[in-house]
Amino acid sequence: MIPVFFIATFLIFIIIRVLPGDPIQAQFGERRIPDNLREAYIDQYNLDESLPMQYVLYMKDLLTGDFGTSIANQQSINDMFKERLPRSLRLASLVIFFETIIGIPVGVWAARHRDSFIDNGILVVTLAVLAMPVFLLAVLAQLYFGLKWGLFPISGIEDGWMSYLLPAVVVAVSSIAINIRVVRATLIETFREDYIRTARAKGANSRRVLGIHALRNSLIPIVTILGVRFGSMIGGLLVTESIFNIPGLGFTIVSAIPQRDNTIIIGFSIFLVMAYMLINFLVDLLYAWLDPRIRYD
Amino acid sequence: MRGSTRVFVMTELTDALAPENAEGGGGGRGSSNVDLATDDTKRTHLRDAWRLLRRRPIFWVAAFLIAVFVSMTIVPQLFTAIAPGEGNPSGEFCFLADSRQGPSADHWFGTDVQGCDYYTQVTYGARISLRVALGATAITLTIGILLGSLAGYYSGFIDTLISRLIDGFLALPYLVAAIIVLSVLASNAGRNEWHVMAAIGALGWPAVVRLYRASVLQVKSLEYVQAAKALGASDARILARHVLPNALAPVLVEATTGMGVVISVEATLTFFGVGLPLDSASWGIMIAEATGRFENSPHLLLFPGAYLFFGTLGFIIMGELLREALDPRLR
Amino acid sequence: MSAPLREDNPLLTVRDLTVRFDTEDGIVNAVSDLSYDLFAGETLAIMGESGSGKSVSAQALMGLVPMPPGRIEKGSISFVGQELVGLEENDWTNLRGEEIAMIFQDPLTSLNPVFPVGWQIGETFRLHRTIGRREAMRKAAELMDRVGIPNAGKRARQFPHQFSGGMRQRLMIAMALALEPKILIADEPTTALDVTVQAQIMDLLADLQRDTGMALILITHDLGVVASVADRVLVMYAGRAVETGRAGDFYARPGHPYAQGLMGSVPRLLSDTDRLLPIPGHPPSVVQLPTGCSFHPRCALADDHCRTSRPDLTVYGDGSRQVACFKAETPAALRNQP
Repeated sequence: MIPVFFIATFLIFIIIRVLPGDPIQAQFGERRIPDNLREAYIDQYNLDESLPMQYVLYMKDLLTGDFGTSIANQQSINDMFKERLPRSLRLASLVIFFETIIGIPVGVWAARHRDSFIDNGILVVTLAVLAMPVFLLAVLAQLYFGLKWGLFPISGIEDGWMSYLLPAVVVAVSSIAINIRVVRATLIETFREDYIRTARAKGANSRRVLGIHALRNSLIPIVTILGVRFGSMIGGLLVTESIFNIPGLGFTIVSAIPQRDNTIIIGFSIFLVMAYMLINFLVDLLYAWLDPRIRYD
Repeated sequence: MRGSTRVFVMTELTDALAPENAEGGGGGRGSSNVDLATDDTKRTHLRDAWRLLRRRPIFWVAAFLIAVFVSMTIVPQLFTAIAPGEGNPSGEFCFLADSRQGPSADHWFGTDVQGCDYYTQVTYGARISLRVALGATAITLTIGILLGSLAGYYSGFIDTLISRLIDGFLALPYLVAAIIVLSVLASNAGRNEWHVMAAIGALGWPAVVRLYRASVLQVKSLEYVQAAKALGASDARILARHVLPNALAPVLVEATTGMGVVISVEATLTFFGVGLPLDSASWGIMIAEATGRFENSPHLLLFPGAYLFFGTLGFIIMGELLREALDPRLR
Repeated sequence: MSAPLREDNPLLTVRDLTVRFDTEDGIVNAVSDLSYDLFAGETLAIMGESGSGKSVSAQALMGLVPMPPGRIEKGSISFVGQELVGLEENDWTNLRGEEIAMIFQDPLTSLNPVFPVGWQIGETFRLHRTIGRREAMRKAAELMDRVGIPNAGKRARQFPHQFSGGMRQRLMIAMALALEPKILIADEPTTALDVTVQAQIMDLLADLQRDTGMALILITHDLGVVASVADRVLVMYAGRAVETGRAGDFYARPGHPYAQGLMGSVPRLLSDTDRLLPIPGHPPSVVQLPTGCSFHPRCALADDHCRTSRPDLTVYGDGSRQVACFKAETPAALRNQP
């Protein structure tokens, strides 16, 4: 896991450092920068060192918890995290809520009534949902539900949880579609196992077979997949955050790019990587806990 | 949510069916899409798959959608007599006076801001989207098959190296990385479709490498591959003639779905201003410019949106159908 | 190993059982016109190759044939007077595990990997009786002890993957016999096991059968296993019964050419043949059965009559043997006997 972390962060570092454009000049627009100011900047960001050295110095700071300072607004990145991360988390948690209470039961139902008319309908609908680009859905939702019919706030975060509702629904729609398919596919696969036959041979009725024998086994791959998806969700919220003007993590990164604020870009991106890896790690632990074959080996 | 949700669905679905493979390993049930068969049985499997597909109405729906969009790309003249940027079939320029009109008999999709026929604009938008999709998919496939072959065939250090690389790439937030990469490559004016193709193509290879590597691992141990080796065939030859045809199936499935995903991703990136340049006829641009005018001219948004949706839909449905048809486990 | 045969009350009566499957490649006649009786305490061995329909016929006895695409076309299964064909699912769940139980071929995949074995065995109790978890675990440990698993109390909390193959099959047996069903169906119980373990398992089954008086339907393709335990034998080919009879008689003089072929293809310690004769040809396609007698393409004695009409089970000898062959007991056939 550790080498992966360094590979990922180094990749980010390289890509961004290669960004053309003078990050210092970008802050000052057309004005000339006094030399001593420029030197101060160079000093602060180690811009006079070689690239690998910059990386090492940056990582050193990072490992002590210091993500650096934004070039644009001189705010500490850590502070920016504290400000913006909760917004993304609020959005993400709403999405998870929706996708769990709708996606999983529907997936279970679809697996149980496999090949029925409604099941086929569900398959087609979920596929169609996945074909719809998120930004299009977000735009349409914003224009219809927000602007035209005035049902929801369309921008910003002034309205408390309500401002998160519509964007969460937009993201949740495709999340739900994936959940339904994954749950359904996993359950169907589990139904084919021999121990299901044994359970029925003992006299268990189909509800018990599904709810206890099948579900408990399906939980393992389902949790794994959903967990991993959650790991990358926060970064993926950037489309919705941008369209609905929610200043969370993704939104911040995207805004920082034209500004060439490398510290923000690198810092926030690395945070996303860390979050992804942490969650993956937790999922692995969870998987080991759920599967006795791993636990008692 | 990842714009390329399907990339994840595929990897996750295969992961779902073989969680032990989720760690970037390969082989085993996760790659059971591989048709482990001799040439003869392979042909029957393909024929069976075709028979299965043929019967399902949804297959024809998807095929129709794909065919329509492909023809729009190759022979747009079939769909509209007007050339893009013009107002009517007689080749006259767009009339500003006609701008932003809704659908009518003269202009099926209405007119755009400059008075040009919108139906033509939107139809020609298919070209660039499909071109970029094709290019990006080709890049992803090439890199993926190459690296997958190396990783699967040679195992050991190379395999570990490539697998770690994949894990590193997968840890990167996809869209964020795409936006960053494209910003790096060129400013808005200087960007062209090749940049976009390269960026999207370069970020999609991990999934393909994993799939292909798993296939290669399975095929590697087949008897006739061993036989070829014993007969002294060079590695390259074995990879090309024996491994490739057999390991290709799941990757082709992935590529089909991938086409749909790329169309979607490209539109997303273009919408955000980091994809295709403003003067290209991409649906993403049309949608972006239409949002501000939605109140008065909703058609400016809805028609390219619809085309985008159906274009993506065709490929995604086809990809799913192919996956079901070629999956030997479902036999 | 022979239990007294009784002409009275059979425990189970199967008549003309016909099971078909609707598949994309056509209609599969898995079982056709199968008839037999089963008496309490006896061991009936149903033998045949894969595709002969033996497993499907057993599944039908438990109502476990997947109903689409399968269907019971006709026939009757009468268990202690109750008709099982067409039984409601609710009644089936009461019956399974309680009156009729089944163990399967691969004990590793047939046990649920995520639940402790004591819980799984206890489940048989909890499904049919009102008892608590703890009580069920206790009974499970008792059963595990009975089937010969050492340290049962502690091991009841362990998981299937922590047991060896032979142990797992014992667990399956414990699970099946928890409520002392009247019939135990064993579908290839030893095929997945080592030879030494096979004998142990068969002995265990025999012991338990003696103790409980239950009937055992043993489904297998292994002649050796059958020889040591079966009272009666029923040979199936292409979905039909082609020979039935007492085990001892069967081994001494198999009547049907297929059965003779099976015998001739098995190495025997005390015979003086120096060549094994496999049956030529291969099993018939389940979708397109041969005309007339299904075995005729592979039979050295076949003539035109065999190719056009299907032989029924005809009684020979003292009435305990039936063979479905036009050529049974002809001089040519008699010469083929070991």
